[in-house]
Amino acid sequence: MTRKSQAWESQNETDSSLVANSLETLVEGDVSLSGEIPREQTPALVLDHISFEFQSQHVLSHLHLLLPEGGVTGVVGVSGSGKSLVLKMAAGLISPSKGRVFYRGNDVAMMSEAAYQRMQSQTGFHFQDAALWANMSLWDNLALPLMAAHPSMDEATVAHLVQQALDDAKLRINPHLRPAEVSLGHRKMVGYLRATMNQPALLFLDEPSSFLERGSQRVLLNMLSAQKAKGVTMLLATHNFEYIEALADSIAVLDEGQCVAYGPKSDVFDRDDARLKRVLRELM
Amino acid sequence: MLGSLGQSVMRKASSLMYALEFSLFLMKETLFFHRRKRIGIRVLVMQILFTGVEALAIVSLLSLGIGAVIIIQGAQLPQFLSGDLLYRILIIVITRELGPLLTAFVVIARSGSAISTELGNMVVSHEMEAYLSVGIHPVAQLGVPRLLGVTLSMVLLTVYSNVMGLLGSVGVSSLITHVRAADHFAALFANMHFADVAVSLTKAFVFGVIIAITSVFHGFQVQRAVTEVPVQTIRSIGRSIVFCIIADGLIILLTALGVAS
Repeated sequence: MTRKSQAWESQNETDSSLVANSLETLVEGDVSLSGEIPREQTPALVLDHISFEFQSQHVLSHLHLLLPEGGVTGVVGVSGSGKSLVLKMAAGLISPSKGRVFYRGNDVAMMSEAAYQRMQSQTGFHFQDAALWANMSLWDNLALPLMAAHPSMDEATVAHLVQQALDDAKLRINPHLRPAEVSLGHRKMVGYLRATMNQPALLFLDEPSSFLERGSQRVLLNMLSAQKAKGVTMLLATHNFEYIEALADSIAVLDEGQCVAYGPKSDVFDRDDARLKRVLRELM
Repeated sequence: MLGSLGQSVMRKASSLMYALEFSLFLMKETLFFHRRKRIGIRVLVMQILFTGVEALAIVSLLSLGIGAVIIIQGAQLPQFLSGDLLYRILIIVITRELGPLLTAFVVIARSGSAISTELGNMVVSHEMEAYLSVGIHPVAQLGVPRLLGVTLSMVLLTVYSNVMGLLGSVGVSSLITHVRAADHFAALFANMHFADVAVSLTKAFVFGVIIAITSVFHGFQVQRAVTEVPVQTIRSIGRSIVFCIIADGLIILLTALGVAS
């Protein structure tokens, strides 16, 4: 069930002590995952054994990830392995059929509408197909997240920040065009800028480099490296191993809705596992 | 057999509850529109332009034509064109009944279908998820301005439709009876009661709310595929017509009960 279809249901605030206990159990209970994460640090995001079923079919089974603050976790897998689904469940856009997602210690499914919107204003989601709002100009696509997160921000400041974002991305396009009037590559770049307009602490990136030519891929990689340097936590789904090499601290490898390996990047690449090696061969 | 019947009833009841919850949420959010008017005002203005202003031509044609046709058909009865009966019939038929109902049908055909289609396509292209991802509630952001825009346009269009309908009838009856149009108008206004206007505006308001909520609801019912969009649009049109006719009947009944008591 998508979040949109249940969004008007009033939800109770999280019982913080319950969540704290759950997190303690999660971190301590999974030695292989907690090795990289300092005990005293609350993870930015926890995917607690999440599963997703669609029409009685298991699309994703028991995925368990911990995203430390400031870390970059890569999600790799062949097309249809469930990467985008993982990102959408992690971002609270889709509710998992089983399991829970904790954002900074709070169960996303139990958040009130206000808390959920606060979480969304602290996170950014870069969609695989850009998902720009078709009935608005590119400029408005960038201005709207700012105005939503900062209702009292004046027009001049909004305009300044939008222009600055366009300049930083070296985007030479007419921002007053609608998304349908520019190339998919440009839409992707604007989609990335929209996701980062509010300086998110946590960034979800769904195939960020797809549909971009080499030059734009490099520009985007530089921008993502800058985000990493600033301490932004990232969950990155990609086929592009250049991005994984440059950005990811740990990776999760998905195959047919199951996580076949998860851990520090170098550790996963060195593992001697036939299924894992087959998936990596298909990807490289 | 009994089990599947029970499951079907449970599913229907669950769907009904869901639709009611959605409607109540949309109406509740409408009360707080002022809080997000900065980002919702443009959608509201566009909705009024599309639903109200751009529908003026077709509403004019329809209302003038219906007003004229009532006189032409009524002229076959000699007593129809004599005395105040003509004016009361015109007011009751046009102002109380045909004005709001025909306007509702025009709005359903133009705007209701457009709203369901647009919202459904936005779901498929992940634009709703994009709203959620930046902390904007899509139902509040997209549904509320449409509810306000359609309802306001529906009320204004109904007033316009009533005027045009009466104008069409007066124009034709002036030709037939050789009474000056100004005299016809004076007689019409003399025979118009406050209740006629109140019933007309009440119907317009209720129809507007029904059309907007039904269209928005069905737009949001699309889940994944583009093929779901026309299915939901057809449902939206059919249900809007049915709900408007039911509401029309209820308002007539309540009015009649009010008059009787």
